[in-house]
Amino acid sequence: MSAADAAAVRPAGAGGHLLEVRDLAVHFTLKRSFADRLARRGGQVARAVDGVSLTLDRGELLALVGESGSGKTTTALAALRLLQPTAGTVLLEGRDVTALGPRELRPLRRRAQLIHQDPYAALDPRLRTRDLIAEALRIHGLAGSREAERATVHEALEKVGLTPVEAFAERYPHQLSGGQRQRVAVAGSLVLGPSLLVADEPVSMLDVSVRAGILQLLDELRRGEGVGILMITHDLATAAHVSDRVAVMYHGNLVELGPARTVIDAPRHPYTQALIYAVPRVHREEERVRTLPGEPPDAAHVPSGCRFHPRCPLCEQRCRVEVPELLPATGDPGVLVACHLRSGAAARSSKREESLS
Amino acid sequence: MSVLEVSGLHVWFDAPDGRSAHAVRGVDLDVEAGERVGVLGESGCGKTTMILAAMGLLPSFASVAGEVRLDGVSVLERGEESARAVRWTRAAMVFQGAMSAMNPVYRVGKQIADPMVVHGQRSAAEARRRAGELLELVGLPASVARRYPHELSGGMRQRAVIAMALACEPRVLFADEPTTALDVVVQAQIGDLLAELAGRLGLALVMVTHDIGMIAETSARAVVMYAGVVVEDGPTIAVLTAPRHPYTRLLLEATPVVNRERPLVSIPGTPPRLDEPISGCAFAPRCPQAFAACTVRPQLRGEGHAAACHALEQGGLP
Repeated sequence: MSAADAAAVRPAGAGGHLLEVRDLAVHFTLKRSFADRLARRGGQVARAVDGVSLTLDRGELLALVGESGSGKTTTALAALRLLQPTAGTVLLEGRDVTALGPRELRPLRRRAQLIHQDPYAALDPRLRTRDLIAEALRIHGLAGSREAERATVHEALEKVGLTPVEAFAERYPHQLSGGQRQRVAVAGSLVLGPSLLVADEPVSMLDVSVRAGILQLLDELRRGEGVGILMITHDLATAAHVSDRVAVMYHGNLVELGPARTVIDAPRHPYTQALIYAVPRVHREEERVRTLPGEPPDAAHVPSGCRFHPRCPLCEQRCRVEVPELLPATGDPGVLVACHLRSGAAARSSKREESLS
Repeated sequence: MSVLEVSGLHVWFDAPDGRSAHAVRGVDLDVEAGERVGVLGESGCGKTTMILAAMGLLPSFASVAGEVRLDGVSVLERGEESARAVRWTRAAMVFQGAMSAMNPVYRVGKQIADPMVVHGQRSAAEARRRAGELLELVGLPASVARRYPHELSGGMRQRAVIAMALACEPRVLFADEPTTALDVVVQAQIGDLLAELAGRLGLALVMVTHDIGMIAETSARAVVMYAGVVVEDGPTIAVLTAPRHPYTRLLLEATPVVNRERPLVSIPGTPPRLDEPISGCAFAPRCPQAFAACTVRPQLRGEGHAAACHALEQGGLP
């Protein structure tokens, strides 16, 4: 993606993007098998994330969508420097976090917080809510006096809607419902005053009736506090409801990136289309198109050309050979798509063919 | 003819401290041969407990009252003995985690063939041949029989588990969140497969799920449960487009839908504790329409599309 294209998708706000990921790659070396040893070659490499570029602004909610193994969580963990990227850069508030050592990273960790999928596993069962929230403050040396700490904890509880705060502060995790636990987890991140929140499937473990409450909370945080939120989800319906933009990943690559409503209502990439058609729904105007055959390949076996080509209904010769770049879509430059048949490049090359013939 | 008849079913789970949770509080459900029923509800509503009871699979600390008949045969009458007589041959079950439903150290084919041999339906050789046919029936190559579960992908494994459930030609197939652990695209494949098999084999399919969309795509009839009781039961289209119970209506409003733009609402409050007695309508404390009559437990009423709500009798709701 060139800088000009990035600007076309979203003009950079004053002071640049909150988060800018450029050509990020995370490769894992798998254990060498016996056959590898016999052949005197190294272990196989799983290319979990391979050349992902995206930006996130203050107050924005970007949904990173994909199936398991698509690299969405790996991308987010590398963006937080909880994983060391193999290549590429990650700029958080303009600073490159990939080059920093553990000591220099510490102050940045406060600014970028992670909310886990499972609120049952994320909270220490032996700690009361107040200690769960204050723990982060103490670790970062921000606790101050007892009274100051108490005030900060109560303010955070108030913000996430756990009132009366005095009662909730004294409870243990087992005394809380799933939704309440997730609110405690959010409060624990908030006390550090983050500018970036990565929410990894924040509602997928929760019952439907409480999901909306957590999504509204995230929405309030970004609108009220200007926190940028990168939300990882496999659920397109959730993404459609709360995000400004949607980034779709397949097999370690971004395949489509654009405004949420546009991507969901008029998906360009054949994979995004299949993903949206596969979502079971109550009101369906048309008969469901035949579902996509097969399952996502594993990251150690990367198909040539476009990684989606073995499952793609539109696959052409070129798709088997050439890797498609993420380019403005034909007809709507506000959407970026990595497909030979659907991006601007397709329009240009077909025009060229016309002029040649 | 009904192949599954559940009447007046109650289930209590006894805790070591002497308390007990009343997980299923009087459920009646009749399912005809070939019918596809989706049981919808949130965690703790008793949907899984109900089908475990119907299969005689409840743990020893559960107590059961009421009656369950599978293909005319009582499941609960003589405990484990009567349950053994219906499992596999009259009813089979597909569980959520396909990996844990299969034994990792045996080949897939053997695991599909075993129940046929154990139930004396076929010789070992015949059962092996039949296992291959069943794998083809669920859309897998017969050669998968020689593979181990870990060699299969999640979707293939769930197909193999379905083949296993079909081994002894059951009349009723229970499926407990059969697609929850799978990716979206694969979910759609498995949902389609279950619906198609039910139609082709004349099976009654009872699918328990929290996924409204999955029910819309696979089931002709939807049953909604809340706090251990059935609150609504009717044709899927009617239940999902013109819900009669306030809980169903709120649940639909709380569910994000990919092709509809509207604000999401959450249902205030939490489901009631099941280890404390519930009087009246269990949903009343969270219900925007609750009124004086709701202190009495409502009965499921209505021909064809039934709901358990006093407001319906008052004509107060559509």
